[in-house]
Amino acid sequence: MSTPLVTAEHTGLRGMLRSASGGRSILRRNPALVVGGVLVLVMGLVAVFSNQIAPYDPIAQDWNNILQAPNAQHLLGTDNFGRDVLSRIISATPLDLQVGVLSVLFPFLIGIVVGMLSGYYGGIVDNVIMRLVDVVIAFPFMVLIIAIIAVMGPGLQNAVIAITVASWIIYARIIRGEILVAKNLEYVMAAKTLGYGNLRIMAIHILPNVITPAIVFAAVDVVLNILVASSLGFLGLGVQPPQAEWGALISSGRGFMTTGWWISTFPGIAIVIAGVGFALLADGLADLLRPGGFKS
Amino acid sequence: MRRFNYIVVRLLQLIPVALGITIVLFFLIRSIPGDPAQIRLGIHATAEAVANLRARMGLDQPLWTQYLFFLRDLASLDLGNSFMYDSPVGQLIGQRFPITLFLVFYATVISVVLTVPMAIWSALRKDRLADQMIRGGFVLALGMPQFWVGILLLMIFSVRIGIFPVSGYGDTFADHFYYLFLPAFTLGLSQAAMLVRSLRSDVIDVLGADYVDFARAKGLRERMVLMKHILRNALIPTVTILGLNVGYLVGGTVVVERVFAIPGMGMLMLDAIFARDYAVVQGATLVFAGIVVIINIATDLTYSFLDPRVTL
Amino acid sequence: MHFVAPQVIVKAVDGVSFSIRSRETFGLVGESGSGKTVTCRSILRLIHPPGEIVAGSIRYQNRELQNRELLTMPGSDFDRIRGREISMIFQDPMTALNPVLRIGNQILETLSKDDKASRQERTERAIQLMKMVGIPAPERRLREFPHQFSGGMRQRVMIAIALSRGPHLLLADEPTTAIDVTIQDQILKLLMRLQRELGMSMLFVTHDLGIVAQTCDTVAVMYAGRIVEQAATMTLFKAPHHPYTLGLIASVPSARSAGERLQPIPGSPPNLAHVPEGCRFHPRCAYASDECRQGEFPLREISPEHLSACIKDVR
Repeated sequence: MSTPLVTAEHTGLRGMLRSASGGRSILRRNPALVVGGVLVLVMGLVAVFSNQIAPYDPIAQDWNNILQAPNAQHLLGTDNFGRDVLSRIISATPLDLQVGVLSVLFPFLIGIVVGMLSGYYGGIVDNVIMRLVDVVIAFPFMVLIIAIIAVMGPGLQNAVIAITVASWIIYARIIRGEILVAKNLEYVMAAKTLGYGNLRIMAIHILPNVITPAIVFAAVDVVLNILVASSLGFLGLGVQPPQAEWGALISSGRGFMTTGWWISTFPGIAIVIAGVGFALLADGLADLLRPGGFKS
Repeated sequence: MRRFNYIVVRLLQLIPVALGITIVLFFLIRSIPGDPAQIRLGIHATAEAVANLRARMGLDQPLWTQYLFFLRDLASLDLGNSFMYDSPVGQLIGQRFPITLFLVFYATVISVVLTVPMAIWSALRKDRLADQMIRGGFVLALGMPQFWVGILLLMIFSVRIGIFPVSGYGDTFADHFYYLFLPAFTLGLSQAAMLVRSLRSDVIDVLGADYVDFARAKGLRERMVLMKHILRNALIPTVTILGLNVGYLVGGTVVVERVFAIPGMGMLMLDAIFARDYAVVQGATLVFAGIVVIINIATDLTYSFLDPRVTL
Repeated sequence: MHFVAPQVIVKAVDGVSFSIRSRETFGLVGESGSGKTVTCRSILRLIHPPGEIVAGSIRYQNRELQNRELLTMPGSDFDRIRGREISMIFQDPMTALNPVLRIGNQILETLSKDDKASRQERTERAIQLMKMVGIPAPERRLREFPHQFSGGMRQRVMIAIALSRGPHLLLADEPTTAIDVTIQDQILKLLMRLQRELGMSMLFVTHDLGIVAQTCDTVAVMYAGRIVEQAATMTLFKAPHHPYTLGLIASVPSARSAGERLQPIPGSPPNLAHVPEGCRFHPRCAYASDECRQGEFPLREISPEHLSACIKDVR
């Protein structure tokens, strides 16, 4: 017998398997969902009760207290008209959240219907819709929105319309892609064999199974829309004065970079908090809605 | 030869998209209340000039004939006149276009320089502290509006510390890199915030790939495994995402040019909007769409060079 | 954003111990999830986080390297083991070759490490290797990409790469599982011929007892992360001792058993996060009794060179 070339002895090689069970609290299992949800909830409450929460009248000018740095009376300082920055940020909250959420709602609905038709029927319908998608995608997102607003005029309603025109395509693409896969699966075939109508198959059998990625993207999309809405406000193409809006607030501080850094800085932090809230919510939703439950 | 065919087919596929873009622009500007000839020439044009243009645009003809006239003008690179600057729109865009294009490429380079090492580091340290910090940091960056980041950078680096100029883009090519650093960084950061997530998960996929283990099994040093096998394969999806997001990046130049007072296409378009100089708005929008389309083709080509499996 | 999820520690392999002799083909057989691939990969330290090797020992020796411990060897030294002393071929030739690099590049990148040979000489060597594994027109195929090769040809390329630096031990992880049945036999014969010609040892991981009978000198049967029986191939097939081995043999179609009903093993392998107490096989074992549910059952020598973990004598 020759001597061994290799001798292997494994007394312990272990791997970790993640287990979805275990009865831990939801905070431990899906902290992104909890933290994101809480941030969004708090933002929502601030929006609803903005008039009650704001410590000062957001448009009241106080010429004795202009350009005050953050202090005990004015936690986030005052602007060049002596208006309380914190109160102005709070009073702008409902508006920005509104644009963010509304301009998700319409593209979501339109995109789902169009994407379903495109994916389910295929052929010429699909071809025409997809060429339309190609055309819309060729325009830079922000440029298309600005061009539409240039024609229609600024304002809350037009901002929502412009964002809708520019962003329905993403939902349509997501849903189309999912349907292309789903329509050849057995449960859809089965429904067809049973002679169900196309509409019924699409709405009852396919949609609930393919809508998850669209919902997850919608949460991310709220972040993008809040950024777009505030950018429009910054450019002077959004909601018009005297309505306070986060982007417009930041813009108003541009002339005071040396004398009042707080005027531009704090409204931006409000946007970041809202953005992070919805981004985490999207992450958490993705985890929650994914079958099997855990991310890599 | 195969690559040549690929390019030809890609260009052919472009025709319907290009037509679609012109249709959208044609109707967008037509939907403005008022006389299109007057709009195109501006409010100060003489009645005679307006009448001439009315005839040339065929405003008494059916809509599709008018659209053909519009295409004819486009084909001869006639985008109309700007009353605000009192010069042809094409000429104005010609002056502003290079600045914006430079900004777009500069920002792309910065976003890649930020994204690739961060995503790889994050993937290699998956679920550890570095990974959590990087991902957390970029979630934060995702929520930051570009114009706000730009203003903060201006406040800190230009106003307080004074190491960067407050506005403008410099005179020489080398100057551009210096003057446009903060604007390009602003754009690159928000782009990176979108890229890091997906590149990280791509790298994680590549790290678990059999060919990476096989490269190790045959005795390749870890550094070579990373450079040659992991990086190269992870770059392929990165190029794709870069291409998909280019519309977002190009759109961002409008905002960032405003913040840093850079006289590019975005600035031109915004000024034109406030002056109701619609010929300029139309021309600028058209060129912006052109930039995106061309970059998308460039992306496809790069992709076909990086991944030998790509065929049509 | 990520937060730590609740975790369960799984011992994929536990108390596995074996030796491979020079020029021997050692078979590691078992159902999927029994730990055979993990054992094989851990020899070359190819275990991915969160998996880790927590304890154990892997010793390697040849004329120059006396009894070296592989698990604790510093990374720079280990680079010299991989490919040159011990090499490995993977289960799926579709995924084990880098899709974006030319075949020639993937063969040459390791050759350049060993000698200062010129580019010309190295290309010659690559062509020679491709001829050795039976790839036609090697000069042309060197410049092609993996997707231009068929599954069987890719497996040959992988073998050529694995053998390019003349290893003394080849780890073959289910090398024929993922390829067409018609090609499987060609690949097996190629591997056996190369082993003989090059005087290598081979660790052959498979779930297919037929392949074991055809290729291996010694076999170890794995179940739920442990070796339950080990013997010379002839002995194992003629006189299996462990009920699991009996079950495996009974569930394989063979010429002898043609016409008989195949006997599948009832039940399925345990979840390694919750291995049963006592003998890990007892819930599926027809011969299990109370004593099988208690205590640990190490391998014992039931006859010379024949080890089994079963405490009974069920034959």
